Amino acid sequence: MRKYTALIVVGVIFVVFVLFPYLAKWPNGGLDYYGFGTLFGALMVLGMMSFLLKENSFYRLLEHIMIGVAGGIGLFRWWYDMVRVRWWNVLLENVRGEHPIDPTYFLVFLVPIFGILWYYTFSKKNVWLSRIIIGFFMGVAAGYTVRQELGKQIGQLQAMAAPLLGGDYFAWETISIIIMFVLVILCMYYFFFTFKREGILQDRLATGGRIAMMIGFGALFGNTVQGRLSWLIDRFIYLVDDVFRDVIQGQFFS
Amino acid sequence: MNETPQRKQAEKTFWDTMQTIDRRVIYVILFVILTVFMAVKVPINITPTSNARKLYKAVEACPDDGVILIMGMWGFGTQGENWPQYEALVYHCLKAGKKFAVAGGDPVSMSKQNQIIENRAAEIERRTGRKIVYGRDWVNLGFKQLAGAHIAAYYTALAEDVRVFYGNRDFKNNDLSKQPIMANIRKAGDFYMIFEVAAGLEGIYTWVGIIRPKYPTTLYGGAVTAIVAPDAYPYVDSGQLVALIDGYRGAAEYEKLIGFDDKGRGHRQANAQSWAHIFIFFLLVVGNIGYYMSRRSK
Repeated sequence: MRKYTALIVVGVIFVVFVLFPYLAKWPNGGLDYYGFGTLFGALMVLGMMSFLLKENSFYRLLEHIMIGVAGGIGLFRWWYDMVRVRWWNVLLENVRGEHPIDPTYFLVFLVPIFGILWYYTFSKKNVWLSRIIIGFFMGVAAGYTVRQELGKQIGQLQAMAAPLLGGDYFAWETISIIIMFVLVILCMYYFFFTFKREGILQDRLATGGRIAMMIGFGALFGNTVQGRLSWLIDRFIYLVDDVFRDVIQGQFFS
Repeated sequence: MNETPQRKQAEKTFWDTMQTIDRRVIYVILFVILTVFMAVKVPINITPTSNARKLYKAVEACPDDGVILIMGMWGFGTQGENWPQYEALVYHCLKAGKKFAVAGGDPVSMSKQNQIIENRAAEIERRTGRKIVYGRDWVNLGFKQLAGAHIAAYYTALAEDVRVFYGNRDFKNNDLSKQPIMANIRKAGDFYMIFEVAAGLEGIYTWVGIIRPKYPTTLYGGAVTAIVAPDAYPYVDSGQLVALIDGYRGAAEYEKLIGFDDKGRGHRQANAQSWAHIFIFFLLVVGNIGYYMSRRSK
């Protein structure tokens, strides 16, 4: 496969730097900046889809281009919308004395110190320093997770208890809660390996749990197929609307 | 007796073949089906489910001074589902004259989201003659890298003081405090509704688990990709989420309610996707029958 790599790179360079500029001089007005970007996008889409047939160098090349572009834009946006706004601009305003100095602002200068600690992962001698910051972030994440789970699950418990306590036992809401409760117990039972399952009842309960999980996984799988197809159709819409209608038809044959 | 590959091939029955159709053949057939049914429109009836209706009612009930915060936490990777959802909600707000603020969490798609709103605002202005003013009717709070393990910390800060969180600047670098729409907005509780359009559920879990208990009067809702939607349905049933828009299908239902079905991307997808689903269902049936028949013959 590697022997084709150079050929593919040359081909892409040819398309981008020779074919597209040539098309820009098309009699009907040719390719503008939008058209150039759109055709390049189409090349990327088709190249990515080529993976469906076989792993290939063209796909690999485009994959790296895409990751590079996303990383570049991301870096710019992090600077432009976050660091610049929250740190650089405020620093300049403080230096210029445009507003009373906020002493808490200077805490941001601690951030690089914490940031540098991450890089001690690469040091054999001082790797312990990186564990401080990793531990700190794990602690923060664990704290937020506990708080989040409490907030979520208390709401769930309240919602489950309300219809049962309300006494309307034949309402659909109540029945669905009872079904859910039974299925949760069955699924938990399926994964309960502390004692040996003996007898037909225990077997049936475990089978019930397995069926409940299969129904759940089936729903997830169905939705996954639906989601993946949506993403594929979105690319089709791009190829039909943007590439064929707007650029090829609109810019070359209008 | 040694079984050579040729011999095995020769013994392969029709039902064995049905279980091992080359994936490339399936891709080509799928490609043809999608191409044909994107061009040929077969009328399909999309019936809005209770989720779409709940969101529609919630937006319609937004008071004149209420502001809806729409979090656009999606990128180009999931735009096939999130774009129709986002566009439909924004279109509804613009059409119904509901004020809204948007914020993004993806560095690459932020400009796209802004473009979607500007295009739809221009279209509604053209059609109705009603002027839609940036800063009064809607505002873009800009982008923050709101993803990963720290999303809960970010959202908590956002909920406590929106202006400080965004450095008092909007997407166009305007002073947020001078935007009329933000006059009464400081924290999460000041919004009428917070609605997140997202690829995953991290953000929605944070709104439900951390922010909602503190600001319970605000409504919370979400539009997510179909893959993760089943995990979020219990929060709609419990009332923790006002509504959940599930994948392109949810978007198509919502488009129908707001009268956007002629232009909406959800409806555009629905036709081709329905036929692709039928094809996949057919493959599942064929594969299973093949499995059953070949097992019986052995």
